[in-house]
Amino acid sequence: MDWLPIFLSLKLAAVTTTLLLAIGLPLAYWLSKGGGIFKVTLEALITVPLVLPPSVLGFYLLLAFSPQHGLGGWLQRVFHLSFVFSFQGLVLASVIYSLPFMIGPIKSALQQLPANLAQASYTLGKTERQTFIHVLLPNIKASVFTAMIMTFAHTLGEFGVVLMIGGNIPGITKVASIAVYDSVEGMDYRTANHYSLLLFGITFIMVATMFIINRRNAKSPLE
Amino acid sequence: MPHRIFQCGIFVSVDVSLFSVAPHQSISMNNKKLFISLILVVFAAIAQAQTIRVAAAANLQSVIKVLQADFTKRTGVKVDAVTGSSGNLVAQINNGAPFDVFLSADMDFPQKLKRSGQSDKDPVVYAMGSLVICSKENINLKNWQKLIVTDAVTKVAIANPKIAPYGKAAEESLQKAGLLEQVRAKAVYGESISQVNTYITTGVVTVGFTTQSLVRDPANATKLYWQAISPKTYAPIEQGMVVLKHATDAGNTAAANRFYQYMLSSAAKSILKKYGYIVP
Amino acid sequence: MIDISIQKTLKAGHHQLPLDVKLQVETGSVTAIHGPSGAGKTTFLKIVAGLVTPASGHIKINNDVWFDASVGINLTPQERHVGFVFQNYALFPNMTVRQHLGYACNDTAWIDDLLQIGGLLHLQNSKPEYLSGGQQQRLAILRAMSIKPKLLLMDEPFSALDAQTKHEVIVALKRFWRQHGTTVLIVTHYKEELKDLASSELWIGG
Repeated sequence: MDWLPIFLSLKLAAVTTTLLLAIGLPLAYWLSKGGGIFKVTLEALITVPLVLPPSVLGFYLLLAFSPQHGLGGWLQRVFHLSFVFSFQGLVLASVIYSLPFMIGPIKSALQQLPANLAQASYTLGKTERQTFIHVLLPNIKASVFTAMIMTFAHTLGEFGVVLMIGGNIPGITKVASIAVYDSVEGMDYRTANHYSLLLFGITFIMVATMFIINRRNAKSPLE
Repeated sequence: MPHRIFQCGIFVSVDVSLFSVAPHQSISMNNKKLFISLILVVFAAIAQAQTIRVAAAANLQSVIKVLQADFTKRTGVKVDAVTGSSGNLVAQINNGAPFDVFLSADMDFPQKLKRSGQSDKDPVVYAMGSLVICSKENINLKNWQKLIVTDAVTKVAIANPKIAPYGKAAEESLQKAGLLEQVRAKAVYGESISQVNTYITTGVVTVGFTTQSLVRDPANATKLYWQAISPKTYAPIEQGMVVLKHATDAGNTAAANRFYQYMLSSAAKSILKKYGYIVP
Repeated sequence: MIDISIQKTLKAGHHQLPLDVKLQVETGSVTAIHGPSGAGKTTFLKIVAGLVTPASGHIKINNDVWFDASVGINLTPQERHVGFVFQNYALFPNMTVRQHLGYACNDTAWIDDLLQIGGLLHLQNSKPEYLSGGQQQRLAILRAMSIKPKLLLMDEPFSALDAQTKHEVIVALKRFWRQHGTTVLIVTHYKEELKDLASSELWIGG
């Protein structure tokens, strides 16, 4: 069996999850503080990929980053960078597509923390940043972990968007979900089975681990 | 008195004796005959609106609409057509998808259906595909072999050769020209010929290998520049068709066979030729 | 000299509650704040701490202006450096007792002293979930004291302590406050308990 698609899928999921952690934590914090119509609109926009057909997202990304014109053209001319048919294109698509999975649990958890935790920290002279790192974040560990697992698993299973903008290039954009589809189309059910079982196994173990760990954490002192 | 009923698409003939009622026969007997004739009229109406389902390979996307309309005009039988990649359609048919006729992009896939018992006859060639190289950009494709290896061409779209006959033909042609490895480095694989067409018409690739029917399609709004690939450089893309077992199960055999015959008729051939296919 | 005059309209359910408080006390004094529930005592403390912004007024601590609506001055809680003991403790679930005190203070000797005063030395490596209510409340007080604040705000700080412990804690605190000239505002429902402690009273009523 060709292991390349599996490694590619894992690599994509890992890169996406890491990026989303870096983007998602500050963004979730900012959104959790509540605000006006701008924040609400932004949050809605972030959540849209959750319910949008992946092919729609793929289609718009295809048009937006087409190297023939506009943004895609500029990126191609100036940086020789393309977000279609490339690994970075898949990363960009995955980041957009899985963002709500990272933001959702973290924002919820932050909003459920008692408000006076942060207030106590401020009276002790700590900045918002210090408070976030030393007080808030340690107390939402379980939710952060959940968000990471969900993001990772969700990216592993991504298909529709990758189909549109991936180009099925072996070693670069031919991820496991595409490989399964390919094998089925080519009536190679044995290979399709292998990839599918592997993907299922990996995802199941991850999600089960998450549930087990969360069960232990259910006795959080906040409850 | 026998009631002979013919269903020939439109015609229903009912034995006229149905309408003669001897005065000594009872009223209920008259009612029964009226009821039966009403049912026959309804059946006739249903028969008139008979529909068959056709599975067609992706490359027929544009021409199938014209063929559908022409066939219905001539016979009154409606055609529901579903296009997709041949491999996908075969997998669906093998698993009970309700199609009556399958128009493939090659001979192998319909052969597979005969082997799996979904069809009882060998496939017959209804058209031969014509491979072209095509671009949204105004570039000179006459010497595409020289052009394709230069930096002017950044990405090349090819249908996945493992499952799409036009992709296979494209690779054969590239192999013949000794360019396969170089082009593979810039290749982008479409899951079907339709996806390749999307890539070409949105300009995300510089050039793509596709069917002539894309550039001949009057419904295509994008201006495309193209060059036919010499048929000598690839094995002929023989597109085969079969009538499926489902037609018998659904009672559509007559209509399905009519469509089958239609596809081999001169009317269909002239439409196919207009869309760039080579007809046998 | 602590000079406070603030006005704010509080929202309580469907009603609006006007809060208008004037307070002038000497530095180093202890003031007991009492009044009916829901009148705004906790909010008043939070306003002084800088956690809530009043609509108008001023807060002057000695020569420092912490808040002045007319000229747009509003120091952040971090800049005001007040000790705050929350009514529901607001302890950090992820930190041990010692870590609470070490969070904003580097003085190990002082931390040890505090643990002694609060009687929590034997629990210094335990997290809040393993402390009793009274122990948690003592920790909340100790944490506020860890930064050696010039102004200490306490919201019903002795409610969970038994009489004996309360007495011991108050004695120790009094000693510290006298030493450092700490000004203290204590919200309490039982002003009797502070009759030895408080030199002035403030009534916040509805």
